[in-house]
This record gives sequence, structure tokens and C-alpha cells, in this order.
Amino acid sequence: MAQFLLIKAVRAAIALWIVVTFVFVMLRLTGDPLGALLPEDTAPDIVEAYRVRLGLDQPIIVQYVRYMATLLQGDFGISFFNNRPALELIGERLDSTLLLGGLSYLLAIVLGLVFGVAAAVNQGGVFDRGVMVVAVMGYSMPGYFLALLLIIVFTIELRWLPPSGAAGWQSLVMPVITLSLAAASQIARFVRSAMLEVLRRSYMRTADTKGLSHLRRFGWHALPNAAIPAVTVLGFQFGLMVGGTVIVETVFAWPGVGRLFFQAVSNRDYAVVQAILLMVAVSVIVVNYLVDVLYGVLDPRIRQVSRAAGGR
Amino acid sequence: MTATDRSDDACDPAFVRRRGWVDRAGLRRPWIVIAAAVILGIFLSAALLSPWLQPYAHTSQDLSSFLLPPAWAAGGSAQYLLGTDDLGRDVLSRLLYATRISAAIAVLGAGIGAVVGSILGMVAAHFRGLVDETIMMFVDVQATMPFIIFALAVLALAGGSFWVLVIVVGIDGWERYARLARGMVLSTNQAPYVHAVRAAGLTELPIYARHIVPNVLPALVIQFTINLPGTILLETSISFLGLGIQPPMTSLGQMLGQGRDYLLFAPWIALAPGLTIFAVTLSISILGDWLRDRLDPNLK
Repeated sequence: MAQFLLIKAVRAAIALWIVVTFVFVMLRLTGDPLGALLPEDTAPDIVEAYRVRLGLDQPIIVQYVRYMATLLQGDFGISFFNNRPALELIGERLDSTLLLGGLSYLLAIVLGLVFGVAAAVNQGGVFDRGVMVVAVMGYSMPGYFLALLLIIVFTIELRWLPPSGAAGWQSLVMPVITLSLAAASQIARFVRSAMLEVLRRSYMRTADTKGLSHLRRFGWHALPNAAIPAVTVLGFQFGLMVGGTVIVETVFAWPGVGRLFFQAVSNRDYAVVQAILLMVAVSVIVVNYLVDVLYGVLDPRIRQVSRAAGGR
Repeated sequence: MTATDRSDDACDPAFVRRRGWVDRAGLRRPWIVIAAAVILGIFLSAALLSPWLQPYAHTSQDLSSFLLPPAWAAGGSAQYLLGTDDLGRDVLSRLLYATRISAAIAVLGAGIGAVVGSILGMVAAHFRGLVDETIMMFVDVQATMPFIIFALAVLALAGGSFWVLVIVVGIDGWERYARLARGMVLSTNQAPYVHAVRAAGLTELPIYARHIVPNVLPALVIQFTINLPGTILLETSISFLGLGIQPPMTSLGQMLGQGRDYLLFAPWIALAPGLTIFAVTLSISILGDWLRDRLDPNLK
């Protein structure tokens, strides 16, 4: 087990290094930061002065080493736009995003599990088909369009909920629905097929012939085995959801990191864009590492296999 | 009631009734698939024929009749079937044009991802060792990262244009083809007939071209239909936020983004592209699921 954890940790570290390097290359390749930073008619000597001051006159490899060094010191730079440390700006908005994202993630998992299992148990029935139709629709529905439909119904027609902002629990309802629907749909589909796979196994037939109750058969024999493959989808969904917060927070003007990112990207605020990209990368890699570990804990075979295959 | 119950109680009248349901539902399934194919066909022909179908140019403005509702609503006019937007532009014409642009980006982008990903997957499977490890490392990273965030950053900094968007959208999803192609090539390489042609002295390139690729291709095509809705949603999301296709060009996402400001007075501006995206992605999803069930019973 220790070896399994170590191999996974090394892989996570390499993944992080790849993303950090990618962010550096991306921010350098997409144009001169000074072009975005300074007005177009800035005098050439001032542009040069800025170039030297920001270290942009150095060879690219020196810039890369400096970039890595400052990151390792926890220095994520100053926002050009607000003239405040990027981390401070993110910190102010983190609570809102964690609240919105956490609630949506939880809701997606609960809905996905409940409906996925119920659909599998009902395989071929009306309930199963209904759930699957809704799941396919939920997956095909663009988040931003769902958001607009919710605004039309609940704000414009019914006047129940505020269209945007963060004033009390009412402001959370539409963003949470928008953010969790697609994830819940995919989790339900995945849980259903994992559950069906398990129900076909011979030990389920044995449990059946032993005369065990429904509850015991599904709860004790089927569900834990179906949960193992379902765990992998959770890591994947986390990443998708992080991406979704940018759209949802922008549409509903939710004062979180996603909206900050959109504003920073529109203003070409390099330090903030970079800091958020790196924060997202770290959180996604950590969550996927935890999912991997959980997977190994739930299924001892995975540990063996990954050792044999050199980590995969 | 479970599958195991049914096979045991075949004489139970309740079971017979239930099976009737399943059968009818089973019969009904292709109808959904046919409907999806028809809807997709309509939108696809609209995209292809839009230059000839558009009543007006997508940029032509008629400021005397701005924010006109659709023809069937009160105050609508037959001149503008789906109404007009804030600048008096015909929503139907813009919808046709935007469908064309969005379809082109999605198909080209998904195509790039499919080709690049499949080749990398085959390279990984062929060389194994360090090459394999490196490629799969990138596959894992790409699979876990929320790609849209990186896409938004690239587009904002490099500027959104048609081809930049095609490439960005193409990068998303390559890892699924890579993983699939790698797995299939690894197993096909072990197949007796491949051993046979290899023993017969055929060199590697013809073996891939003639024997391995044709075997892997159907699975890759299915993967393409499964990925396509995601590609469409990615492009429309980016354009919705205003960082993708820039005016005067327009895409479905960009139309929707503009319509967002007029939800209260002119919801049709947003509803037309929104419903189009939803109908198309839903149809492709249904077709993709059906294809997958058909061609690969293991995945059912």
C-alpha cells in the first residue's frame, strides 16, 4: 500500500509540473504581456524599462527558472488591474466558490447515486427509462442555456428568485441546479451501468437463491461493488465542475473565483489568471489523487495491478 | 423487481405484462433514434445550405423593425419568421449562419482531436516503454484538467478567431482517442492474424494501414459521435462568454450570449440558438449511445 501511495504521489507531482510548465509556455506564447499591460502609445524607452523590471528581457530559460522559484516561494504576483496580490483577491472569493461548488458537487453525487441505483434495480421499467431520458437530456443541456431558462421561469415569469448576486439562500438555488444537473446526469448513468454489471454476477444469483431480502442483496452485496467503478467518475466530474463554475458564476454574477477568473481573463490580468489556473490544477490533481487512493483502498486488486504495470 | 426475478418467474402474469412493456419500449427505441437522425439531418442540411436558405445576410440591419417578435406571436411579421434582434437583424438568418459556423468548428475541431489523439495512441502502443509512459502521462493530465479554463485563458490572450477556436476545441478530447487507440492496438497486436502477417514478412507500416487501423476505426468513429456534443458545448460556452467567435461573424453560443441581455423583452433572441444547440447535442447523444450499444454489446 505504501508503494502504491508513493507511485501515485510521484505521478501527481509530475502532472503538476506539466501543468505549471504549460501555463508558463501558454502565457508567454500568446503575446507580449507588455502589450496588454501598457497603453499602445507608450514611449519605447518606458516599454524597455518595464521589460527589464519584469525580467522579460532575460532568456526564456532564465525566465522559466525564476517563474518556478517564485512559485515555490508562494509568490503568485500582483494583479495589474487591482494592484493587490493575486492570492489575496482569490482568497476573498474562495468561500463563495467553495459554498456553491461544494453544495453542487454534493447534490450531484447524491442525486446521481440515488437515481442511478434506483434505475438499475428497475432495469427496463418505466422509472428506469424516465431517469435515463432525463439523464441524457441533462447531459446534452448546455449549462448557460439551462441558466437562462431558469432565469426566464423563476425570475421573469414567477418572480420567485433573484436573477443574480449573492443575497441569501435564494441566490444559490439556480446556480446550484445549473452546476449540478450535468454532473448528476453523468454520475447516474455511470452508477446505473456499474450496478447492472454487478447484478449480472453469479454471486448476486447466489444471494438471490439464498433468499436474502432486497435490502440485503442490494445494500450489502451489489452497492459496495458497484461503488468501486463509480468512484472514478467523481474525480472526473470534479474537474468538469470546476470548469462549470466559471460559466455559472459569470451568468449569475456570483462573487466567486470563477467570475474573478473571467474578469481577469477579459482584462488580461496575467498574475490573477496564472494564480487561478495553478490553484485549479493543484485542487484537481489533489482530488484525483485522493480518488485514486480511495479506489485502491476499496479494491485491493487495483494496488496489485498498478504495481505490476508500473503505476497505471 | 430485477432481471434475475424475471427469468425465474416467466409464467407469472405480472412478468408477461412487464415484458410486454419492455418489448414495446424496445420497439420504441429506434423511433427515438430515427427522430434524432431526422432532427440532426435537418440541422446539418441547414448548416450546409445556409447561404441559399438565409432570407437576409446575417449582418444586414433593419433599424425600423428591431426586437420584432416571431411571426406567430402578437406583433410579429411574416417578413421575419423568428423575429429580429436589437439591431433589427433577422434571427432566422443569423441562426442559419451561426449553425453553419458552429457545426464547422465542432466537426473540424473534433476531427483534429480524433486524428492527433489516435495517432499518438498508436505510437504509444507501438513503441511502449518511455514513449508510452510520456504520452499516457499527458493523457492523464489532459483528462483531469478542466479544459475550458485553459481554453478561455488562451483565447483571451491570443484573441478569438475561427482557426484559433478550431485548434483549441480540437485539443479537448484528444486524450480519449489516444487511450482508446492505444488499448485497441495493444490487443490487436496480439491477434493471431497480425502475428501471421508479421511472420509473413509484412513491414510495420502496411500492417498498420491494412490490418490494424481498419479494426480500430469503428471504435474511433463511435468515440467521435460520443465526443461531438462535448465539443459543441465547449465552443458554444466559450463563444457565449464572448471569448470565442467575434462579430461580425457569429456562432450559436455568441448569439445566445447577445440574447442574454434581452431575456426580459425579447427572449426569442436567446431561445432560438439555445434550443438549436440543445436539439443537436441531444440528437447526437442519442445516436451515439445507440451506435455504441449496437456495435459494442460489452459497453451496454
